[in-house]
Amino acid sequence: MSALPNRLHTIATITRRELRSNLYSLGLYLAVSLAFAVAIVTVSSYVSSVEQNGLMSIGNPLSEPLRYAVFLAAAYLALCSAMSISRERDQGTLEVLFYGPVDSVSYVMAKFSEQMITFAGIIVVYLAFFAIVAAMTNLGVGWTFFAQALMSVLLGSSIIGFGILLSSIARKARTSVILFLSLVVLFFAVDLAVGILAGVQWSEHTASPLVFARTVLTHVRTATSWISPFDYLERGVTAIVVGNAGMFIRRMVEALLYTGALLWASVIAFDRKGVRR
Amino acid sequence: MLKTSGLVKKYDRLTAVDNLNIHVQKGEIYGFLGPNGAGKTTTIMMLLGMEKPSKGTIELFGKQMRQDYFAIRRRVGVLSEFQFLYEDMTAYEYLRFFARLYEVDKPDAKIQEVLSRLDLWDRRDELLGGYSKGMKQKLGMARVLVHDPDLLILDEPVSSLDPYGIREIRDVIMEENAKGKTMFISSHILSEIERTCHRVGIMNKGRLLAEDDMQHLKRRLSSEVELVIELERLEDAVIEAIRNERYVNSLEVDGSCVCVKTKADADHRADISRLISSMGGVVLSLSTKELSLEEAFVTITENNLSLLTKEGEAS
Repeated sequence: MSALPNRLHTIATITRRELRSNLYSLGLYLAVSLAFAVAIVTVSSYVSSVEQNGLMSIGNPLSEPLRYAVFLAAAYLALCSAMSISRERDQGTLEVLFYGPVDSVSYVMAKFSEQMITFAGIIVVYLAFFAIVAAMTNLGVGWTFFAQALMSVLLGSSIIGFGILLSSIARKARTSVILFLSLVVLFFAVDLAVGILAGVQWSEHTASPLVFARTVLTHVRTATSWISPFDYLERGVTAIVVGNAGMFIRRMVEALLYTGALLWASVIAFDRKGVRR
Repeated sequence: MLKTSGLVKKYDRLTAVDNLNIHVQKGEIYGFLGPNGAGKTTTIMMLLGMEKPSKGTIELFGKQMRQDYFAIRRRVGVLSEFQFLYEDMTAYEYLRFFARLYEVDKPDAKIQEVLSRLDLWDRRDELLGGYSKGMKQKLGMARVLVHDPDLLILDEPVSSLDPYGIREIRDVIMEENAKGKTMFISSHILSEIERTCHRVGIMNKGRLLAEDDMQHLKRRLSSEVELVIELERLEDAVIEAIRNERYVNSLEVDGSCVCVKTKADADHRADISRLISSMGGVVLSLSTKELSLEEAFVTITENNLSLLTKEGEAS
């Protein structure tokens, strides 16, 4: 008998339990509230600008606040993903689950589905929130706004996949969170360093170590842009905002392939690490 | 029902399980004993497919796990020594989740049945975080039973239970076995194994040292058998005659009873009884003082390894 129907049933059952658990999680509501607060501050600055200048020229004024909100939700879910498997392994409940009809593929996919559905739910809440904001402020909402909102879910999959991979590797929740935060800090540090060095005025007298550092960091930045899931999200959202369909499709395919690779690696890592504490 | 052939598990230089051959028949209760570090848990983990054997094969229901992973998993119920529960759930929600996972028919009725059986029905709506250790152990047993498995693998099923709880679990084990369920029980509480198991396997340092039913196992381990004979009248001639028999190792008189230690090569009760009768004595009672499983366990694992090894080689 094919394993697929069994796996789908297992995925659905575990996802359902995890979603219920998510609904009772305070962190979810804090992350969404924080996203709302950031969006309100950004929109307020637009409104103030209109009040002061009488005019504001932005194609999709709500796209930027939505981008911040999406990044916050994605970051929160990435953190949750990074803890999801390792926490259960740490608590011992993973072992009990694997006494039953659960295998590594169905388990990893259940964890991924749970986070993806939560992400989709958050985006729906965001849409309702921004609809209210648009009605209250008369700021326009175009098709790119909706496309950005809906496609963010797919683009965010790589962030969730990234968290799940780290969680598969670690035995304890604390380890996976530290690993996740360290990598995020590393990605942003490289980004920041490249930005700083890009701003340096170069002359023939510029010290050679600085030139070397810039060259190395530029290569590192190129590499991290293919590793960091936040870059996949950023590139995809940018493609939507600039309205380039070809670029967007390419970015979407890249993100989905990357997510597939992360989940595949997660299953392998999970099998190697085992289910025991 | 459960069969291992030449099962080996090595961790670098350590051989945790060495050439293990176990065959548990349908409807049997098999006790799996051994001191800490003997390789019992590693064996159980391999049976469940959670540890990959270095060598050898495992068959459950006549198939290897990879041949029909999900179907085999649905037919097995596992209770581990420690209960790791979703503490944000109530007992009812917890069992509902597992019932759904195992695709149990009429789950609500089944949950009510198992919770009532384990005296937890009245506590079904309490969060598991507030459950005592014993209650968690019983809920673990309820989880095992909720999908009505054919094979139950129980690792220390009565640890952390009070005497009443131990009796409840023992009753459940016996009832399930009466329904034809097969059990593989690992436990340190030897009296429980002795009460419930049909056959026992004793493991030490990764090797299965002995495997037999309780009576045979005890006989194999004893170098002598102690008989307690109550006589109508103690007469020196009778006592001396018994003492002089070639199969008698020693004899002690205790009130109206005579304690005779005989060689374990055969059952000498009839010989002694005949001897006493032939000398005009009357036997009021004759009993064999049984070696307890605990004594057998200690004997096997600590003292008489060579005895069993020689026996095995000879056979």
